[in-house]
Amino acid sequence: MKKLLLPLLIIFAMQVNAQKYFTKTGSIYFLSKAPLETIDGNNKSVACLLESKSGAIDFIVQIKSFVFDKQLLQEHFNENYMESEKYPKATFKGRILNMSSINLSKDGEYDAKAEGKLTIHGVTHDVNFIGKISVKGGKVTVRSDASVLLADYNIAIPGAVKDKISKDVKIKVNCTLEPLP
Amino acid sequence: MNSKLKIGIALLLFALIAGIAVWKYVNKSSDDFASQKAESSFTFNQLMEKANSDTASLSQLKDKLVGINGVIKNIKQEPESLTIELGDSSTMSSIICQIDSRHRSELASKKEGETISLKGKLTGFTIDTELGLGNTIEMNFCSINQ
Repeated sequence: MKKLLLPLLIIFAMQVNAQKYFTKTGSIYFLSKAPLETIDGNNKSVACLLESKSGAIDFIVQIKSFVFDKQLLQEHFNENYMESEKYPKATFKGRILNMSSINLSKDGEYDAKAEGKLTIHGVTHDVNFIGKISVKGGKVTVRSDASVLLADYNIAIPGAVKDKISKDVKIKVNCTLEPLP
Repeated sequence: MNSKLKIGIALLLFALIAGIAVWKYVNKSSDDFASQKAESSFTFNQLMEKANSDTASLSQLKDKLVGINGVIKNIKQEPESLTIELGDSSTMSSIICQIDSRHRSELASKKEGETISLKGKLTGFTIDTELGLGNTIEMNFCSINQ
């Protein structure tokens, strides 16, 4: 019996260690603050998957799922800037560098550093993010504020609206993840 | 009144009307689809069947006002937003509906496990073979499909 129990315990421990956390309803807030106009939009259907052992973390964002208050912004964002018909998704594929110092089975708040490949508008760059991971009641919340330079991702701003759109936009990510069944 | 003054007033009025029209165009709120009829309606299983075996047909629904009938798997209520996930516990696949903020109150009493009929703009989908999160169809500007 003991001989059987030990391998089972090891397998169980390995599964616990490799727990995955996910959400399909994470949020990204987008803010462009330019001299003449502030533009912001929200996307509340962000998919995120975090693997606790390796720290691998993935995000998938449908560009057309961003919501703006004004119809014109909604159209310009999709048609003129993000060309969402041609580039429907933005993705981040990376890992949390300091995962060993983050205990996802214990309530608390931890600093997190991530690196990976960010793809927006069909252009991929290696990027680093800093953020916070908080754990409460088995749920894991990933938060990060970042800045993205539009020119890095070949997103052109027409001269006529250059004073209305910031060259770099702020992005706030907030995803509350649950254990993957 | 001399003719120059008349022309001046006319030009001023024209500029004023044009200015108001431009302002209204630029500041027009996003479309509210609650009063519009869905172009086509499906059950959760019908849409997932398209995701599983006919993505070309699913792609044709992008940007269309689509009605969807399904069971509420998850409700995410935040101070300024409401997101409803349709699906069931037997599958990771689901439909994510961002509720139009103008119609949140109409859905405030809905509970997980209830069957609901919604409509909204189908914004895209992810056929997941990599992350293990199942197929996901996304809709925004959603409201009750009456």
